[in-house]
Amino acid sequence: MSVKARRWLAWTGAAMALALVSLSYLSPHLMLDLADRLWACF
Amino acid sequence: MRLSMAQVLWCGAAVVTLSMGIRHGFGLWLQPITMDRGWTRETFAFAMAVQNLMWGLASPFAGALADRFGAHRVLMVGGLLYAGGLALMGAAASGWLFLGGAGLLIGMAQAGTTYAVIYGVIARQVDPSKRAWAMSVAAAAGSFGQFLMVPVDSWLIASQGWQNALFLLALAACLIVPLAFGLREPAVAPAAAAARQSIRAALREAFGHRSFQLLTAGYFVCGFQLAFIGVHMPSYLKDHQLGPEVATVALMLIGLFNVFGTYGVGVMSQRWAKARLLSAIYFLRGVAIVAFITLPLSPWSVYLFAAVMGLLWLSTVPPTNAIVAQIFGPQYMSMLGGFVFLSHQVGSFLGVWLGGRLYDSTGSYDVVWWLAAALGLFAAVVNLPVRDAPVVRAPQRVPA
Repeated sequence: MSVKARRWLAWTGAAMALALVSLSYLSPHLMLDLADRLWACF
Repeated sequence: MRLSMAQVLWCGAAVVTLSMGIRHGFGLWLQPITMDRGWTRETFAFAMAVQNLMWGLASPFAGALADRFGAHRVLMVGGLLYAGGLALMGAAASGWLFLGGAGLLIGMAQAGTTYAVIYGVIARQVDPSKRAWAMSVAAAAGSFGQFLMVPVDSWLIASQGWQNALFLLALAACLIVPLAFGLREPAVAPAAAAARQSIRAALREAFGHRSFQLLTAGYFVCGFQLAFIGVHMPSYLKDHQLGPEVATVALMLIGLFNVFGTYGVGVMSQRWAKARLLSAIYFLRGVAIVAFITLPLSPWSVYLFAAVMGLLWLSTVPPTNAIVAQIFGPQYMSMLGGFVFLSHQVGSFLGVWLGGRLYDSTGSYDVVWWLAAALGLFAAVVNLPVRDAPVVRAPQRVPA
């Protein structure tokens, strides 16, 4: 595999990982859970 | 002979992802642990405060041990301490045991498994022309770990219960041990070992160096601002009648933009003067804080502030450490990085504590916000005269 292809693969993998984690934050269950826990601290 | 850069980066990034990620979600355990054990929040909060102080206090020692006996040994011990601390955190039936696990053990473990130790390996094993970039990859991995672990922790607590979630994280921390083998550095040649600078000489040299003093002062501000914002911003938003979902989205935006900011600044550090970049980061933080507290507050202003602060969040880490490596060389990089980080943690402690103290005495966060902005400008100014030219040492006599 060429260096360019490997670089593209790495960037694509990183972008997908970030997108997936971002999406997980937007799931209603997690949002509610996090909000409850955050607010419970104050 | 050096380790390959890919090996250093993969193993270093994986270790930092685990160590920074696991600690980032600890706040999620506050409610279940205190409710289940019948403890006050102070018990939990005190252990977390001790953990942060311990992380800072142990960093120079962990760094010195890594420089002297090898980073892989310190990483292995750190990984085991991390696992032990997490297991004790889950099993502790008394506040004192909880303090020992969550505060002391995990604090020491963090000192042995985070940036200072990994950066020592990077400084020694990666070519100086790519050092800042390599440090930014490791820092971005830590940022990603923080971003990743909040939803993972939340899911683990919900599906496995808080105690099992901690035991599973303890197993995850054990992965640091095999990863440490990938960072086992080749032995130093006997002639080079004999010419090593002593620890005392290295400390005298660093603490007498103006740029080291200025960098350390700037890093204090970094810790102050991040800890204050991280801990007190949700409360500030609540005071201004913004919903909890705003704080959650802000948390996500900080985490996401932190990854981009940390990596981006590392790339920029390859081309531009690192001290100027640091100065710009602190200046922009000050400007962002002033804009945030003076413009009308709305969910969108919070999101914009979170994105900007996310970009600037851990972006100070690669250039600060790269400058230390550039001035003093890689031999005591971990120890000197540990001392700079100690200043960061003292700043963190004061940011959290003063935030609460001044809120109680004045009834608002206004004073601390302005203080954080003023400190940003102070750090911007003190980083301007930082020079990263390597120190010139008198040649040492090497025994024949």
